[in-house]
Amino acid sequence: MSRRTSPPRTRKRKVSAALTYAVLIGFSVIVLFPFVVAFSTSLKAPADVYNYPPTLIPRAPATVEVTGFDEPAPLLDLEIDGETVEVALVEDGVSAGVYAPVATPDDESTYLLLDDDDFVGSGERMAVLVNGREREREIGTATYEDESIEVVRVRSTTAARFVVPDDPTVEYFGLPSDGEPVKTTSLRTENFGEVLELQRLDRALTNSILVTLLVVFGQVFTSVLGGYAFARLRFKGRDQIFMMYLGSIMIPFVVLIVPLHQLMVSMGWINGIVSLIVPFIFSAYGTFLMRQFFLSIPRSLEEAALIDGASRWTILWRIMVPLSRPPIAALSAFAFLYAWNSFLWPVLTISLGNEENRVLTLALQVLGGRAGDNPHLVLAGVMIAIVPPVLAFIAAQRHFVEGVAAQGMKG
Amino acid sequence: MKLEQATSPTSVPDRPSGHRYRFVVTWHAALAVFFVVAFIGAITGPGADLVGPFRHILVGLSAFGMIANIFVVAPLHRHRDMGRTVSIMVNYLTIVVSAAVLLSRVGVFEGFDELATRFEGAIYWLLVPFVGWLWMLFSDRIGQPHLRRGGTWMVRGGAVVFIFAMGIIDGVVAIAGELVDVRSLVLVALIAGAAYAMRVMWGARARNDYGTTSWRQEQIEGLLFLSPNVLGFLFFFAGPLVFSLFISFWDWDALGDKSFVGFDNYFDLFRVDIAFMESSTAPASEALKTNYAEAFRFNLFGQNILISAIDRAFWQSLRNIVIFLAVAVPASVIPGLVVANLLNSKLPGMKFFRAVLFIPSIAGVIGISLIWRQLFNASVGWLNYLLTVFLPGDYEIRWLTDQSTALFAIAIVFAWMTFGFNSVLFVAGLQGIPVGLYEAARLDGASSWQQFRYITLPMLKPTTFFVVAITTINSIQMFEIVFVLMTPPEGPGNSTLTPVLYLYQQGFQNFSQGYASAVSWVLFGFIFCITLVQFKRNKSNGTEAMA
Repeated sequence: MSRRTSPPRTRKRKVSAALTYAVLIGFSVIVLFPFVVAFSTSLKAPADVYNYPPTLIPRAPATVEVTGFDEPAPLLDLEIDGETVEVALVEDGVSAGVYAPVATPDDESTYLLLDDDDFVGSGERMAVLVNGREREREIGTATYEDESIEVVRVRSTTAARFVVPDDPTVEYFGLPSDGEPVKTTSLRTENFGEVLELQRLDRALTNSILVTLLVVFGQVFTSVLGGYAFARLRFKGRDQIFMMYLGSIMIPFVVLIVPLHQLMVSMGWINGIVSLIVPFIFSAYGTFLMRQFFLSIPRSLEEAALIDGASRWTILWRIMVPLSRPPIAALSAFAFLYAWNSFLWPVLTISLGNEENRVLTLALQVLGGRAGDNPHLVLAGVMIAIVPPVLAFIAAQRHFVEGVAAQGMKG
Repeated sequence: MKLEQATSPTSVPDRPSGHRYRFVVTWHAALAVFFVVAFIGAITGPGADLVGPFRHILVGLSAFGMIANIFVVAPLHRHRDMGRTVSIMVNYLTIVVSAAVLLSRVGVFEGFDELATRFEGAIYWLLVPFVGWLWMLFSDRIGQPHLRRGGTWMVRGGAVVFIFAMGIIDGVVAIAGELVDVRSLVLVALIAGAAYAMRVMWGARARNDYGTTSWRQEQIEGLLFLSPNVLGFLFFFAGPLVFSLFISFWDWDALGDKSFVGFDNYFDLFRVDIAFMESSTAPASEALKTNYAEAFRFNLFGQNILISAIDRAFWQSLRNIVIFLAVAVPASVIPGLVVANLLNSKLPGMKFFRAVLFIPSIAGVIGISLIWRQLFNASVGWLNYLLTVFLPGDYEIRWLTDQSTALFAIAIVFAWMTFGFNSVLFVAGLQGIPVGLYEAARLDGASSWQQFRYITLPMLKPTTFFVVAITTINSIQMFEIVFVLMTPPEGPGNSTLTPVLYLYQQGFQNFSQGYASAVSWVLFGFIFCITLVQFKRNKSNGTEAMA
């Protein structure tokens, strides 16, 4: 190939590589975006959840420590003379007065909100309109923005006192709604602790761990035994049984739910954790997977041990299993995902109100219904449920993807 | 495990062991008597009160035990190998069944709930073996096997500590207390006797005395190795499967009363009536037969056609799933194919992308559905916001509560969830295409598009069929997404009622379990047809490639 000597080809190649990456990044964004949204929502404060337009970065009203005050004060953007100043709301409900310049006593747009301490009354009175009625009010001078002006005190009110955080001596008076709250990035990690307390999600989490562990161990154990029998031992009916196993993989689980549920009822297993474990420690697929792998291990490895007098049992666990880490990892990963994510079966056997025996998927479904108004909590629960399978997938990625790919090759 | 010391063909001492064989013969004779009593009891006495399938199982098992034990005595006595084989099998089954009944009697199975409570209390101790396991993995990864030992000890020690922390010991003591009871003790005696008899027969000496061939030994070992699997398969799969087919011919409310209805469940599902209406807006009641409800109405060649069915909801679920298939399967398969072709390039970083695209198919459908419920939110959801940002106009689509968009929304979630999985399947298929084909095509001056069109697509046909079949089968069984996303699950105006959801409602909300079983077999029929077509196509493709 004349790859290096012909520039147009190289350029074409670069363009196609860039296109490939661009499309793949696009698809990755589509895939990851919902997870990013879920993660960011799970860290949001309740007030931040229903903001429109939605934001990815969790934000909360900022506060600031001001010297001389115990509590952290909310930070606001206040517009003063056309300039935006960042101030801290240090005191709310301060009694203050509404004053009108003597020149325009009835024009409400020129009203000023002032601290009563800044007003020095002269004892004289004049008529002003208060709520549409004429009233006699005191005239005096007030300091407003370092200037002394002549004003009339219209009525009293309550106001908020703002200070500039760096220099608390600079004070402003105004209504709390005059300022726009400053928002900063704030990760509300308490959501995770809170949601675990809700609906006994903590118990559901440990139940899921228990069920998943037992199902994985059980499936690996029975599949290793069965796979070995199918791969290595000759007995009557072996191939017929194997064909039945293969056929059973094809049968959808929904065909079984009615009778299997009935079986659980008649055994008294309904509403019990055991109904999520025991029926699922036998796996035709896992047996098939192990058989295929055992077939690929050369017989000579076993024969030496057999001649030395080792039993089949010893050979299986001492020789075959240590060689079979890839399929066991793949099988464990499949069993893990199946047990962890299963929903249809638990929803049939465990009643939704049974907080003691619910698994995580059930508890999440209940939470999604009951705490539907608190998406930050629901999605915190979702993140807790998603992290273990994703970690397991990252850990066993190679085996896992190969397992799936092998499935594709088989088809 | 007893198998271990037994198989080794050690030299056989001369000491006669006839008394042991006599015990085994007597044991089987006693078992035979026991099973005769059990059989009579199962048919007439207390066994008649047993619920569900257990009476039949008890009758079958005791009949089997009776016959097998009677017939094993003579060959065993005459030192025939056949007797040894059957004896081992019978004793093994006796142990398994008695142990299962015993465990159930002493409450081990209900005890799982208690176990879950203790597990929750001790969960932090589980971190010790978990860290040890990570340590082992890590030392393997960096290739330092001598470091591995520390991890191994941490796993073992941690497991012991964990078991103590769970209080397994007093749990076992409590269970052992339950054993003091006549029936439990009978079961214990059965297990002990059968275990001893099995041990005698398994031993190298017995093998010698009975002239066991290695072929026959392999036969026994094969069945024993397979037994956990096969017993589970029979009890939790094959048995229920047969029962499901059986019950689909009955009208059964899961509580007791059942009446045989033959194929009526199936007929009721499919029975439809077609009527021609005078106008498209005429009320349906004129044309409906009794018990029939309007399912669809449409206009074809100027005729207003009304199709009514006995089970309207089932037909609606079929219509929904057909629409869903038409949207979701291409939406999942085509991006999968595109992405697979890109992933198959030899550029660096493809493994990373492959892993990222795979995440939705492992993250769990419940979590994903809850996430999408937020994205679909009509007023503050991201989907409407992004549409508003990127497209002209303001969007406030009520994705999930609008009858016309609900099914479409479900299809979006499904396609998003599955296309990465499909792309991995496609990559596997792409890697099976011989590179030589592309090289030859390039020499002939074929463009990339031509290569894709005339090499990749035809060569990928089997994979494509497989992917389409799998995706179709999965979407026919869709349940979780609608169950979580939609309130109520069937959606506005039954617009997201899927067949499996319908099965669930019939079987577990209306308790017409016979009818629900019929639905499940109809579904299986559809799935089976798809599998069959897929299989046939592949086979013919395979022979073409061979020729």
